[in-house]
Amino acid sequence: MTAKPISRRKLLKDSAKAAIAGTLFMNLPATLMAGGNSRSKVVLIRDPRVVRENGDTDGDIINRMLDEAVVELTGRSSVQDAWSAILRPDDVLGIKTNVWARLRTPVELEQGIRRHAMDIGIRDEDISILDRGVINDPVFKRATALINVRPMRTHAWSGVGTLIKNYIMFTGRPSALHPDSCADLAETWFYPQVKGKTRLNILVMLTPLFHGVGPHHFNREYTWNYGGLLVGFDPVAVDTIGVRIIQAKRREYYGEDRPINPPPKHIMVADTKFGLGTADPAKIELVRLGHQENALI
Amino acid sequence: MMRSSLWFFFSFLLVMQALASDKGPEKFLPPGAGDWKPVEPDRYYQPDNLFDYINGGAELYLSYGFREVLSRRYECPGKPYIQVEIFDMIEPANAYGIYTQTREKEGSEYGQGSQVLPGAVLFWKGPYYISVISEYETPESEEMIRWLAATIDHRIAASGEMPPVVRALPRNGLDEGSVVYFRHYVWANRYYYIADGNVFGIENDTHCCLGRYASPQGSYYVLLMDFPSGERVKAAWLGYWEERAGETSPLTEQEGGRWHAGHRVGSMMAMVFRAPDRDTALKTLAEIFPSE
Repeated sequence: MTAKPISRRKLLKDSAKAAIAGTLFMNLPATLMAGGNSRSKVVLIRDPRVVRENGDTDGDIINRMLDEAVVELTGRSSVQDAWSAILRPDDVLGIKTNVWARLRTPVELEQGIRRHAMDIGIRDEDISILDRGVINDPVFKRATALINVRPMRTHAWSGVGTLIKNYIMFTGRPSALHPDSCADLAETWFYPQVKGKTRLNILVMLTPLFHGVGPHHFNREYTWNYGGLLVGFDPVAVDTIGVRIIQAKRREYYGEDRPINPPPKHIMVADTKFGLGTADPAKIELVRLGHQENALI
Repeated sequence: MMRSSLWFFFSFLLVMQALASDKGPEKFLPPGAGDWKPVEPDRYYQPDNLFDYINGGAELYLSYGFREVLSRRYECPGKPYIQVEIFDMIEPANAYGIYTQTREKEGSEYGQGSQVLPGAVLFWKGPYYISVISEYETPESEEMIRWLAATIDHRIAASGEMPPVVRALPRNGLDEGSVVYFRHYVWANRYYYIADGNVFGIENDTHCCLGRYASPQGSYYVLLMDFPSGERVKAAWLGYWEERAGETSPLTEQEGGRWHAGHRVGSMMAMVFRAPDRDTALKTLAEIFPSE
């Protein structure tokens, strides 16, 4: 008899089906919920010119990419309309970034988001861009809206650094979420300071890290110019697409399947246990814009 | 009287300095590297504050039995800084384990095994795992990180043995650079996904290694686990077959014509995953347990 491998998805889903229903699209703006589309839309936009030869980010290009992505994501006809569907003029906005020195969220992108927020009427003093210290930041403490933006990279303990993981700074004790290779990271999305506030998730895929070495888990050898952004309302869906790209790159680089290790189970658990979004590719609508070559997905 | 007091004072300072420099791993580090000099005091981190230094990466080191890391940064105006870290992992097996986590080709240039990448030299020697990296790469900084690595290597007199479980891996077809030694279950999935949970009951007292083997049909993998007791081996054996709900035999054909096989003797359990054929699976187990 030929044995079938264990289905990790089946095991997890069987044990936690009940959790999925209620909160699947808890982060989707109300104005965008009317469509009734049960699939999570993720926009992949790429332009290799966004990474200059010296490694710097081209601010104009990355913000054009973001604009195109949010127009596609929201289905609105203009950039202004798209951002107005995501944020309100009276919002207090926390932009949760990631400042890990070796692969941080591009400052040009952070500032682009800030400009859009101000363009629709949010006051400068009601906007904060921060990574560490968000739980004590006065703006984040009274935030009505969050935008989550970070680069994707492999991680020594959670498998990959994801949008889901980016909210770990909303706990005062991140190490409490480390057991079982950080399986329960999605728990942070249900903290009062966070729950239901995330309006947009942006996974930066300009030069993703697909393998880590040494104590700082980084070497440029294991990054490549993918020149992409993944944008969506559902953080689990966006992370699911991102991790598939990382996995495909590993397959290409090593010439064989080389699973990300530890397995990034927190993405699947965010779906099956916490109902934060979907990790099932069949329930994700991937829209591709811009450069199409070597998309790896 | 004054002269003898001064003599005593300076002698005391010299003795204290000598004692201090012999105290920790800083004695392995040179005071400068060409134009690069330390510009700030050395930093030390222990298990309770390693998270402050390398965030989530700390769990990996803690899972191997970490005691302390010394971090020193050498700087030179207009040039990339060079960061040196010496991790005291208590035992050579732990240092070897950390080293195996990220190296992909076995190198012998430094210490007892090394990996050299652009802007990085990583190696282990005795109970120490050493990382020398530069902020970015220039020809001069590349030369300097290699000089620093060689200097540290030379100054560390200690050496250590590889864990016995690693030596038990069959050598025929083994990619030496693929071998990983670990004592935490999450690393069992490194090359081939086995299961989410700790199906084998691998704890800190379980010495495990994983190796990748080449065959014309593609890679296959061997997982060896040395448990502290026969009861634990039995539990691991039963735990695995319970997880593999569709399998009833320790030798099974998988999708794609690959084979999985397992065997246990005494405190040791071995699993072969994705062997290209039945014979290879059985021969591999026979090499591990030759008297069976």
